Amino acid sequence: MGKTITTTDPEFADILAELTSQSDAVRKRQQLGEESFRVWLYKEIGEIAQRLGYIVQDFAEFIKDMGFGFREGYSNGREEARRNSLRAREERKL
Amino acid sequence: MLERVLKQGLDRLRQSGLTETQVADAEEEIRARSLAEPDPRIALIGFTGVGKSSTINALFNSGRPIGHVRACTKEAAEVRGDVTEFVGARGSVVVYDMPGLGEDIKADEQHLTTYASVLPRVDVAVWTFHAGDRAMTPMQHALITLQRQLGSDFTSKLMFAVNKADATAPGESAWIERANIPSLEQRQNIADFESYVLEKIHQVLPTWKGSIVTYSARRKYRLDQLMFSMVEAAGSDRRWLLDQRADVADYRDELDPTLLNFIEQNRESIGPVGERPWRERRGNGKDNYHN
Repeated sequence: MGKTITTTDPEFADILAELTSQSDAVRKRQQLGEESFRVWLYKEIGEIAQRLGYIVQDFAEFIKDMGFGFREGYSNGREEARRNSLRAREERKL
Repeated sequence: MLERVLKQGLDRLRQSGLTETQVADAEEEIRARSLAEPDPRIALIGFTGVGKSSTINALFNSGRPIGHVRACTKEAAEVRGDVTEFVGARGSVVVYDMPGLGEDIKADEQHLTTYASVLPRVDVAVWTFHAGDRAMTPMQHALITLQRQLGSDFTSKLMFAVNKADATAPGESAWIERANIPSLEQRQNIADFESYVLEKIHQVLPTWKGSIVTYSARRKYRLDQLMFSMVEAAGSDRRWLLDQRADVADYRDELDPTLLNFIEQNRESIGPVGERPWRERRGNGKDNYHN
């Protein structure tokens, strides 16, 4: 306690790496959670809409374009959103 | 409930011509359905003493012991195992506690039957090890048998975890308490052990692409990494439930406060870390993240 800390401390870089890794893990987990909720939600919405007698236009296509990292992609423009979309990811896998 | 995503979905319904009343009904139904989704189910495979309970506390209740637990007797009877519902700070998780293999050949047969009945039911299966335990043959036999019985689908929900990172050789005294990190020698041994486990898994499941995480529930070390790997291992339409229930104990609680204060005060000038989402303690004791 009370010891002066500097960025040259031996543990400093290790702690930074650990904190970064922790924050990355939280962020990636939340991103996965959001993507997953999207998958679940659109399945549920599709069922509800169908029961009400509606066919949501281009619904299946719409889900595919809902992006992985959609929020970030969208703010960077349509092309970025397209690159981050589930459809683009699927295409890259093929 | 991820409100922003829900709003986008409801907007889509509006655009498709549903009236406001219909959209409101749909919203009500979606909320009800989200609450009705079965709780996340986790299988923990491993011997007594690997710290399964402390891991659950660390992941779903900020490390505090979960007081509200309920034995799921009906399910336990169906799978012939120990099934418990833990009500953590952010909701319930159902944990299938499955004994480790290698103590007794007859018991192993029974345990394998239990594994085969439990694995199809769970969202994620965490195979836990003692740090440095190099006896991998029972695990390899089990994976071969389970793959034969269940097909290879179960492997996508399978991950491996090594608790008690702080006990890694040369031992707990090597742990750097002030920084709450393993010593250089421990880190090398952790990396070696993870490579060893991966090699043994790949001998029987060559295409397995899951995670191996070494952590310490007691030291709150690498718990977020463990939680992320668990969420990743769950099915794509179930991950959100696990993410929603997570209340992970904070690694930083075990750091020397002087060191932590220095980093936090200087985070803008430190570089890449300053761009990461940092946790801030809120008055209610929950964590808040911001960019």
